[in-house]
Amino acid sequence: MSPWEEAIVATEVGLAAVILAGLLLRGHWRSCWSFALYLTSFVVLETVTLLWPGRFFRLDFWLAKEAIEGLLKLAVAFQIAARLFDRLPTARLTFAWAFLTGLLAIAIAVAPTIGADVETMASTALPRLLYGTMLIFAALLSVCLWYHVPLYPIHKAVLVGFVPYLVAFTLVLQILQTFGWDVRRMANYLNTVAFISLLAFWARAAWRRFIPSDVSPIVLSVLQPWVRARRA
Amino acid sequence: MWMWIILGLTGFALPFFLYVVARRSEEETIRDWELVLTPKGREHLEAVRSYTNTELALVDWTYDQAREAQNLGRSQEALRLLDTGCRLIEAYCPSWTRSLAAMSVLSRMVSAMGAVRPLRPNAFSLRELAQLARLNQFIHQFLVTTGERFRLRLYILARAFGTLLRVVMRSRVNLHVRTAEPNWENVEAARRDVRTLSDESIETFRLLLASLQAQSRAASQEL
Repeated sequence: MSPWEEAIVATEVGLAAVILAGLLLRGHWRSCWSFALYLTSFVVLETVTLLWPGRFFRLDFWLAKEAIEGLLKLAVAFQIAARLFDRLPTARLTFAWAFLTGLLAIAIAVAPTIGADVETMASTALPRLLYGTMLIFAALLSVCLWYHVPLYPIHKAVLVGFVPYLVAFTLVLQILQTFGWDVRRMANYLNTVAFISLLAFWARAAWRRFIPSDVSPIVLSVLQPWVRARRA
Repeated sequence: MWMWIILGLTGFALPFFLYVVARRSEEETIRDWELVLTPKGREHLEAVRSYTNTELALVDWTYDQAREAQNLGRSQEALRLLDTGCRLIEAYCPSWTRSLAAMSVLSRMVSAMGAVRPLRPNAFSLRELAQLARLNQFIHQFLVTTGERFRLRLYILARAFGTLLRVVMRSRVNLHVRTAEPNWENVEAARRDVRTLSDESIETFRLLLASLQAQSRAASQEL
């Protein structure tokens, strides 16, 4: 790992830690604890890579890390949907169909690469997994728009952040698949810019105070039961 | 290759999608829900009823005054009053068109809508509106869910307000051109139909509120 790469990973870990601190101190983690879990896994897995590069700075470990984070991203989508549509059966059913279709599409797209070598998995299976996950996040946003479901600020930040980032990450991996590992440096640069921008965006959202507007407790109990209504 | 095509299409659609998501105000969305989940909905329904009655009473009064002026031979004054009555209807129709569009969005929240009946053609005096009501009755038979029937009703009502607006605007243009005597029957029919359309729209709003509140109660009992 070059000093430049170390600096990038350290910056990313630092930003992720800042987001986690913001989520904990502001209490936003309660609205989506799976997102906090995703960030924790990122911090832990990147820190071990940073501390013991000889042992963990390898393609197979990176792929395992991406697989874990991929599952946690799906968990984030699932939990946000479960929270938002808890008391909205029509929207819940529509998203359930979209989620299952997305999972099925991911399984069909990734299935041919099972048993392939690590490089094929990284360049072929991973973009498909990431793109499928992005579609699930986009579907969740679309269901919210269609059914007029208000988004809690941290949920909106997570969804709006993930969708473009996952497209960018898929693009980076697709570049690697098409042009080979010779363009790794350029692809890495693109991904770094996208990911640091995403973390900075989330850090801003995580540290913001969300004061519930003067909304009736009945409405809050239906739409955002985890939010405490402002006392009169 | 196909992955590049998919990514290219995504790159095209993504900015529009994110723009739509970003420009939506979550606070306003919550306020829309407030309207249907709290007693504010009932208050709003009463306010709409009151506003409609006031506006239509003004239209009726203007029309009656115009008729009276015509009978007394004051045709200039009759034309002016008729013109004012048409202007009142023109100003009134777009507010309902906007409300019906908002109801269409709110109706998606409802999982089980109450029974919806189509518009009745014989309730309308204008031929164009009676035809729209017939179309409503015809398509109504082919739709399965009450939600779809409800949205069809909203669509037909919105189209009916648009048609009515065009009829009234045409009548007003004819008043200004003065090629012939004012078409009193047409204006009278428009005046009657604007009331029928308003009553049907209020009934639609009441049905939407009732369905949403029933759903909210059912969800509360589930917990």
